[in-house]
Amino acid sequence: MKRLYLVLLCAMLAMNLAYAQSNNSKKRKKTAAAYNKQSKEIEKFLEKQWWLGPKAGMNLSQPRVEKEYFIMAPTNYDPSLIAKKYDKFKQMGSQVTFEVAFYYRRFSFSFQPTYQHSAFAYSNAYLWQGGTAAGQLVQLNYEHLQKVDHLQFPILIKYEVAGNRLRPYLQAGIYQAVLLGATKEVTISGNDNASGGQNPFEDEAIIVGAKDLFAKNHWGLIGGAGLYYSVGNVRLNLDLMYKSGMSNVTSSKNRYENDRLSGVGDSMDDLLLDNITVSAGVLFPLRFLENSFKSADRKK
Amino acid sequence: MIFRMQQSTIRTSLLLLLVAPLMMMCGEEPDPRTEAQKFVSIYDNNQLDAVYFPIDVKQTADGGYLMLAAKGTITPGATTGNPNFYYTYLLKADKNGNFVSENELESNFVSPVGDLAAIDNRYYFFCRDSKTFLSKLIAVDEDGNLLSGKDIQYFNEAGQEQLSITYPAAAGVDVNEKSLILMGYDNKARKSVIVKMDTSGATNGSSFKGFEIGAGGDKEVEAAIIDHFTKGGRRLPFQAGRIPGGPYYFNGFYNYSLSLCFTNFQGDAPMGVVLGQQYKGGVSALAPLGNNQIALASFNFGENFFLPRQEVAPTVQANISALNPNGFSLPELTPNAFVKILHTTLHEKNVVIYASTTQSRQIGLYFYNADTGAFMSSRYLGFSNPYEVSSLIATADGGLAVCGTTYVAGRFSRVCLFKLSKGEISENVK
Repeated sequence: MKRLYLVLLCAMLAMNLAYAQSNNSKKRKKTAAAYNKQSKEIEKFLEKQWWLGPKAGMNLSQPRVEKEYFIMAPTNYDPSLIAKKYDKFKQMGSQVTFEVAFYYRRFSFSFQPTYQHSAFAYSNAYLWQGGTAAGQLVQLNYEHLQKVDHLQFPILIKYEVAGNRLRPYLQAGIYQAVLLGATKEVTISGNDNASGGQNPFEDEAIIVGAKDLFAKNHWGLIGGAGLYYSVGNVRLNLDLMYKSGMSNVTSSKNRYENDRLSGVGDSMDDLLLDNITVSAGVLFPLRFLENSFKSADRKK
Repeated sequence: MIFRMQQSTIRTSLLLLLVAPLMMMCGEEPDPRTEAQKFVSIYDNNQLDAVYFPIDVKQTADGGYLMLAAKGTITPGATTGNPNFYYTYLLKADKNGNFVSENELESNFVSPVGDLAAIDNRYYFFCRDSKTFLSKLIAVDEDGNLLSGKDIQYFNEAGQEQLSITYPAAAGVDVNEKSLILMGYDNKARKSVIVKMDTSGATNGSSFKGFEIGAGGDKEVEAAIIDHFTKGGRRLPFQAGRIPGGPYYFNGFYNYSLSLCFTNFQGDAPMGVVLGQQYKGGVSALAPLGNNQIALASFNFGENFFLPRQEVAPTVQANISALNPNGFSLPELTPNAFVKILHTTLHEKNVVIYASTTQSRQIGLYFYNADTGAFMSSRYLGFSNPYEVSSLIATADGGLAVCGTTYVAGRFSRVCLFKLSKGEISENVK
């Protein structure tokens, strides 16, 4: 919830700044000559520029399994029956970014330190049957929800495809992520049909700090697209990224460190984590922020 | 403030920010070589009525693990056979703890007992023939495949039965002599019998001895013994082995009590004995340390004691209740807890490790300095589901392997194996 507030706060701040810039420009009356002069200055202004600003949004995650690990080792049935089934881009996360970009002739070199909260889930099930009476069985279902916080350092190259006021762009890059924290929640439910009747049940969830179960660092590639919409001197930004993890996001050396999870037969697989992130934000020109520069809109 | 900075300073800072992440671009790649160092495995059977009682584990030459267990099937409606029989079950795991194969021996090989003895890449243990009640020496290869099975029954030259051991209760190994030591219960003569044999099962005429469990037998004691074998009652801590280079010992019934007896197969009485209190007090486990020092665990009417360095000469005549005050009381263990003791060297330290089951149904490992008897540290394994210890061994990589029982979903008893790395064990023996 706190993270949601943070995201909303950033979004409101960005909107407020953009709205202020927009109002500022509307108030001015322009002559044709002044307008042409201003356009040239804006063009020059935009030719080589540093941009800074916040953005925030939501993300969805999907793990890719590099190698499976089991604590439960079946002796008389196929291990695929108890294999983990991962959710695909189902669990919502959030992220907050502060972007620093250098623009030069449609290309931007962008550095985007990001706090990213990701979540992904998997489930598996066990079934025991046989026994002395027909229909006897015990079924256990495990739902595992992982929430991971990373500080990411993406570096991107953006290419603004076309446009003036509305500028679509394509982007690609790499990121380095540093683990900040993680939690894991295991919910066990099942059906006991071996004690004299049908008894569906759900146990108290196991919630543990799981920072040790994740790799301290991982990295990945980024591809994506977005839109800039210029409002006065600032740019509103809608950004879409696909982050493809290239190194293991779990810790192989700490795979069995958590006794509570090992006790219920859970061990993390080697995983690459992919994310789809959608962010909205605002970018300010650096020269606009410097006291030596007067905004093109403000010059008369 | 950014507004007061010089433009060049800001640009330099921003460029540094761009370059810095490139310089630290990295990730943690899994190292397959470390997978064997630490793992937890639970070997599951999806039959509701299958129950397993692990007995011992040994690391095989290929780095894998061979586990010996008793397997039972809950058969309340059985009208034939004896539902109390527990069959002999062998499970092979690879060096990473992954299941490789299982082997349930033929149905008349029941009630296996450890230790699982490793001699020349073969593995030996004893079980009982369900029809003749005779002990059987079983040899298997490192995958658990049956190589041979031999009745422990000896005849003299005239063809008369000289010795037969029924109800095998415990076994040990003399690694120097490559011989096996078996203790059994002779239910006809009501004797605890100990015999030393080679790996073919052969013994000479002077390497066995029987000791009366009490003059005329003791019905209550005998009932406890039978309950042990049928798993209808308490698991009694029978033991057999040899003080390195010295006499043989067994922990079995003698003089109406569960007693630790020393023998060199001479005379009608043991050369030394630590008497228990019927079957309600006695030795739980022992590991010889040399120079008449023994790492001992004992129980007394439900209480548990660890005596990590207790002087017990083979000629001792003592009562366990006199030794218990020398030890540490362990109220956290289950009443009359099953205990295993491993005497080994970890990180160049002479260490005794006690393994037992706690009241909270975890496996507790207690590390003691074998030279001084001083407590070093403890470690607990298992959580969420109940766990009970069966055996522990030192592994070739300097770590530990702990074999036990876990109750999956709180109810299905299954074999589990914990592998602890050398690195994490080093924290226990600092």
